[in-house]
Amino acid sequence: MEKKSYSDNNFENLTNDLHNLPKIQTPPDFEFKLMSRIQNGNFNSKFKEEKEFTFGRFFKPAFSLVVLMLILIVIMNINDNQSVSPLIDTPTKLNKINSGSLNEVKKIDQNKTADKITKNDKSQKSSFALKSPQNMQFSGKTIDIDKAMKQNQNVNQQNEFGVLAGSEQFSGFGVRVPAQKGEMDSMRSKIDSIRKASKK
Amino acid sequence: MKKTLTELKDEDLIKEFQDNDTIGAYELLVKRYKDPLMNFVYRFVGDKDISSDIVQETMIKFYLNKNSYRSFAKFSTWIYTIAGNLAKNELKRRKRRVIFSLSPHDDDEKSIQVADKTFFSPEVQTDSNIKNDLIQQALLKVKPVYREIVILRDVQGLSYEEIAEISGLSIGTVKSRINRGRSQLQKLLKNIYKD
Repeated sequence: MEKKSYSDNNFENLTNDLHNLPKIQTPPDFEFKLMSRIQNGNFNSKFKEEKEFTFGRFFKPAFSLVVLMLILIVIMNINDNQSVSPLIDTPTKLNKINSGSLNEVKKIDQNKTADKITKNDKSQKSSFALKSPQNMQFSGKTIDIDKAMKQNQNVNQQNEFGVLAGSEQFSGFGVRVPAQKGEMDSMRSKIDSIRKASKK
Repeated sequence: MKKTLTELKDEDLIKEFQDNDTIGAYELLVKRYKDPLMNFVYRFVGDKDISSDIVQETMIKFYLNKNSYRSFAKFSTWIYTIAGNLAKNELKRRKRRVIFSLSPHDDDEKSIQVADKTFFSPEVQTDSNIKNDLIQQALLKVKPVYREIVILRDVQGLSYEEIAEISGLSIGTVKSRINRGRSQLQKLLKNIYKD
């Protein structure tokens, strides 16, 4: 038997009455009903949890829908106003070169430089005008073969190394060392001697 | 010599039911606990039909989830926990129904009428049946958190340790809740317990 605490003594009458309350018993058919439910596999509960009627039930889906809409709007706006990133996009000039319109690019460059020159020196303007694209075009029926050949050579070189916007030629990030004529000759003579030896 | 099922303790019976699916062991446990659970649930909910349904549901849950019982706990505390949870859910459900019900008649109103001293003269109050009714009505007015503990302690006669295990509270909290529950009850029944 547990010891009664102070509070137990305080409520002695009440606790006695509570203890002496009549014992409620299950109805006589309780076990029969239970066992027949088990035998029939009827386990459907009468006390299924009812979903609470709270504001959260309505506001949560609405709130998530609004958030979703906002996210969609933000994404769509980003796609519309996407600014040109110089790091990601290929320069327009390079695009034009790749598509074969090198002359147009050259025109633009030369026009720009020509404008600068006109501002600085009028005498240089006249000399530059000879090199200007209009003059380089094949005017009339005569063709300056040397110039045309040179131009083609330049185009080939530029196609080979590529051209960066704002610079003349781009030949990679390494330092380009021009080949020495003497070295080239010695190499050629070596190759020739090897060929001769192999023929023999 | 092998013991018969009736001689086995609750914990041995449920082990027998778990291990060998012995329906006799289950039936015996139902026999042992149906009335104590009925009494507990009725004192908590205050409706015989609903209490009977809750106890039946408790036994069904016990049948279906027999393996969720672990042998380190007492069987009585485990089954009381199931019944208590079902009874609390029923109370919540009723509360919601009352909130959204258009009818002004509910259990609380009835209990107010019974508790009003103008309905009974002091002589009538001494009658034990009426006293029991008054106590039951007053019990239903005590907050459910205190009510459950008071019933387990004073009606069912469980120990503080068992109540702590059933309710998942510390023994200190159980004691303080019993005290508060009793004070509330005594206030409600001040016509009976004048001193």
